[in-house]
Amino acid sequence: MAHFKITTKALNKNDDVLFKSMLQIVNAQLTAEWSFHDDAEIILVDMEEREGQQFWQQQQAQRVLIAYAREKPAEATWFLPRPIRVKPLIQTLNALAAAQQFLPTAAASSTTTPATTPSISSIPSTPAIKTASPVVSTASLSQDAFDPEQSLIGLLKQAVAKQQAMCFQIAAATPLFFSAKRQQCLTAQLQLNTLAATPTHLYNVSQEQIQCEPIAETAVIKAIAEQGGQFYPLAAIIWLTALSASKGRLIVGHLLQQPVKLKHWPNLAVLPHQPHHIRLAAFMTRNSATLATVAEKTQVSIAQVVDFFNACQLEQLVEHTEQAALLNKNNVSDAKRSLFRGILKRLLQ
Amino acid sequence: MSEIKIVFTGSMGAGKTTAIAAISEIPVISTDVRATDADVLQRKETTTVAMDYGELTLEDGQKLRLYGTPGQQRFEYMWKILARGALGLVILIDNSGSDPIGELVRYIDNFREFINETSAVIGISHMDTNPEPDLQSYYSYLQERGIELPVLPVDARSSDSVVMLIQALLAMLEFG
Repeated sequence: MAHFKITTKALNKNDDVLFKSMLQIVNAQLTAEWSFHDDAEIILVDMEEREGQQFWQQQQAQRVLIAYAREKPAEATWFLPRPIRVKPLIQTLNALAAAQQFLPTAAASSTTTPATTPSISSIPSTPAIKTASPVVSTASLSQDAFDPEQSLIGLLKQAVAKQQAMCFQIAAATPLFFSAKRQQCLTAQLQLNTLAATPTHLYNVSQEQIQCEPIAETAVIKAIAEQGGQFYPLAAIIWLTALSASKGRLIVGHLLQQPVKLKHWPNLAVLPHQPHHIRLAAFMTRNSATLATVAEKTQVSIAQVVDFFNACQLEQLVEHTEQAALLNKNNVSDAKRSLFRGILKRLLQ
Repeated sequence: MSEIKIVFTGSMGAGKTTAIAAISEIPVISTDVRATDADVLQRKETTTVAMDYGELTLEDGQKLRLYGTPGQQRFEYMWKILARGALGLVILIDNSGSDPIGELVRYIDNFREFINETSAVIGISHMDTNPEPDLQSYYSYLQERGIELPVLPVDARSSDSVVMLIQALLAMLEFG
């Protein structure tokens, strides 16, 4: 069984004691083992305290934070309503454990795959620019194929086919609304150019873990009025789900050895992305190559290349070629590479 | 060391001056003058006649210079002067213009040699209000000519949007 450590921040003494004792009480009903440790990476933060709010602002990109408040803050992915009660606590911790096990992080000290979830590879899939030697050994890739139909993408396609507005949610996390009328999705604001900071819980999990509920179109409008958020093209959510749920598994029906090329750049002005996706787009629109060669030439891990390829495949950007064709481009000097890195660093400050 | 520069070119009113201002750490030095031509006046009050200039200081103290070319055809002689020695080119096209793809053709033709030697990225402005021609139309034109450059919608007022274009340009220079 996976083991997670959790701690608290800015809770008053009573709530802190209550949380610790409740954690022990509910442990038998949790799908993972949870224990309280001061140095844990998962932190319950009292959002009604100034100290908690400041901590949230500083740490939300680095740690897994659970908002503790009477009303769910818009920016929170994970939420525990005040006062602490057994049922919401169990739901939140179980959902968080499920999402964490899909997303290998330091938060879990050991992970095993629960029976309800498909197997996952141990390939890290969220870091931004990889500066170490690339992982080009395809032996490290999961042998499982990525089937988009088993993720949120399958549910979205069903909603599109039925022309039915839907609400998708896991536990107390931020929901995603699909408007059939607009053919768009409404959710909390996504950071398009910093995918790592985007809450990806809903996009990681298999569809059995997602609660989906048909709703009226007016409910979508009501949701935006009450909770804020933003409409995104369906393509952006499908793209994000493919990137998040692939986990280094090649999409069904494709061979790793097949040379591929992109027809043109994905529209990164609307599709969530990380810096390495820009590198991949630049290389893959100019060269026809196997994914292992793409990884080698761009210094991006093979798992990240596969995730990007899957997302491009769903965007219908991929063309398969008989043979690899690499441009005979002069090597860029180390001084030039260093200059480009310097410019990028300055621009992204 | 030689000058490090990126050149912004493209159609009149596409937002070259605005894009440079969005990322420059100094106020843009501009040679804008009040427009007098009727066709220019219909689109904006001032126009660049020589160049725009902005800059960014890199960590090692070097300056990245950002030049904007004048948009009007009669100042074409300035384009190649400004592009000489540049790292790459950002081509901005105003999608609300009367013939945006024709405008792109003009800039691609003018800078063809430079693009072959370095690279370029194409930013399409005002797509939110003028969605046609769409991105696919631009790509179709480029593919007919065997050109593989990124085409991305851009909001010249947004630094994130302009930074994305330069990220794409640098990736093309290194990996494309």
